[in-house]
Amino acid sequence: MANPVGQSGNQAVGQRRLPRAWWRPAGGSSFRQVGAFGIAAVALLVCATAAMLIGPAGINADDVIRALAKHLVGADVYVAPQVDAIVWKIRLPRVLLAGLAGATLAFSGAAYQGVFRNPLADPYLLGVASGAGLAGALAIVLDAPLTLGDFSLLPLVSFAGAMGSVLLAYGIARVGGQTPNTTLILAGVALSSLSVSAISYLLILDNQNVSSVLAWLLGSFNGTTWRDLSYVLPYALPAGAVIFMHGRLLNVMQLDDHEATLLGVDVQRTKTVILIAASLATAAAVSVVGVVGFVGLLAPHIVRLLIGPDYRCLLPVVTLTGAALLILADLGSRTLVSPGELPVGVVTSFVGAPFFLFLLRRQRRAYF
Amino acid sequence: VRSDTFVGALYKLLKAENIADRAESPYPQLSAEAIVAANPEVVVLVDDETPASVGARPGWDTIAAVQARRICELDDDQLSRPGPHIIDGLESLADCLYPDE
Repeated sequence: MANPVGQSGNQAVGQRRLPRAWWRPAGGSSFRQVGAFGIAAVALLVCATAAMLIGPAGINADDVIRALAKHLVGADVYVAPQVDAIVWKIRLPRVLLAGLAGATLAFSGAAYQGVFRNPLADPYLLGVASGAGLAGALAIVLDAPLTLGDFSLLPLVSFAGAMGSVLLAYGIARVGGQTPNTTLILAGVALSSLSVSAISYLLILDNQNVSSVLAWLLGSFNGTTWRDLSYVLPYALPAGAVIFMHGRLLNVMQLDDHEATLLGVDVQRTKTVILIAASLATAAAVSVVGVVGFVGLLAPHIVRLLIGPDYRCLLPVVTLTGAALLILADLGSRTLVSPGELPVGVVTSFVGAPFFLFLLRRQRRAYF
Repeated sequence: VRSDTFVGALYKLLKAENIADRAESPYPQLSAEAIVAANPEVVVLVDDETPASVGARPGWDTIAAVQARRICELDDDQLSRPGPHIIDGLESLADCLYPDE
C-alpha cells in the first residue's frame, strides 16, 4: 500500500496514513475503490429498476416503461390513466424518496461512526432518529405552523430533537474524556426508548389510529408524494455536501483527538460541523419517512468490508449503497404482504439487528 | 378491513366486494398503489379523513369512486362497535352502497 508518511505499527494502516486532499484520487487501492463505486452504482440501478417494475398493482414492465417515457421524454404514447398514476404519482416518488432517505441515513451513519470513532454509531442506535421523530411528532400534535410556502420547517424542528438526543447521549456516555462504545450505545438506546414511548403517547393522545403511529415509529413510504421529496432535498443536499467535503478530515479524526490536533485539525470545530450536518440530514429524512433503523449501520459496514476505511471513497460508495438498501427494503415492505403494507423499519430491523449483533460479537475492528 | 372480521361482516352482509379481502391480515394497511389498482367503486371512511383529503392523495383522482364522488363518511361509533347501534350503521352503509334502492 502506498503509505509515504504513516509509519505506525498499527494494524489498521489505512487509518494511520496522512490523507491527501479529498478531491484527489486515492493512491494504493484506488482501482478497488473505483470498482466498488461502480458496483454500488450498478446495485443501486438494479434495485431502483426492480422497485419500479415490481409492486402490488402488478403492472407489466412494458407499461411502466411507457408511462416513464411519456413523462420523462414526452413520448407520445397511450398509457391507461390508472397505470400512469400508479407509476408516476405513486411508485416513482416512493422509490426516489426511499433512495434519498437511504442515502441520507447511510452517510449520516458513516459520519457519526467517524466522529465518535465508534463502529456501532448509527442514527437509530444513538437515539438521533427517535429524538428527531419525537420533536416532529410534538410539532404535529401541537399543530405548529410548519410550512413556509413550499418549504417545510418540520425537518428543522426534528433537527432540534436530533441534536438534543445526540448531545445528551454523548454527554451521558462521556466518562473522563473517553466515550466507551458500550456506554454510548446504551445511552443512545435508552434515550431512544424514551423518545419512542413519548412519541407513542403523543400520537395516541392525539387520537391517531394505531397504524399511523406505527408508520411514524417504524417508518413508512406508503403515501409518498412528490412534495415529500421537496421537503427532504433542501436539507439533505447541503448536509451531504458538507459531510463529503470533510472526508479527508474524517480520516484524520480516526487518530485520537490529540494526534489529530497535532496534525493541524481543529478537532472541536470539525466534530461540531459534521455532527450538525449528519443530524440535519437524519432529521430531514425522519421528519418525512419516520424512524427507520439500521440503514446507517448496514451500509457503512458493508462498504468498509469491501474497500476499507478511507472516508473520501467510503462516503460516496456508502451513499449509493444506503440508497440501494432502503429501496430494496421498501420493495419488501410493499410486496411481502401485498396488497397490505409492512412498515419499512420492520424490514430493515429484521436484517439490521442480527447484523448489529454480529458486529457487537465480532468487535475486532479489523476493518474500521 | 377484511370481510371475515366483525366490522367487515357488514360489508359481506350487503354483498359488497371488499378490496381488503386479498390481504393476509384481517385489518391491513393497504399499499397506495394496490388501492388505485383495485379501483373501488365506493370508498367508506370511518376516521378523520374527508372525501377532499383522500381525493387529493396521489393517483386517487383515477379511482372510480373518487370520480363519481361516491365517498361516504360514516360514523365509526355505529359501524365499528359491537352494540345495538350497529343496525343504524348497517342502514347508513346500505344507503351508501346502494343509493338508488
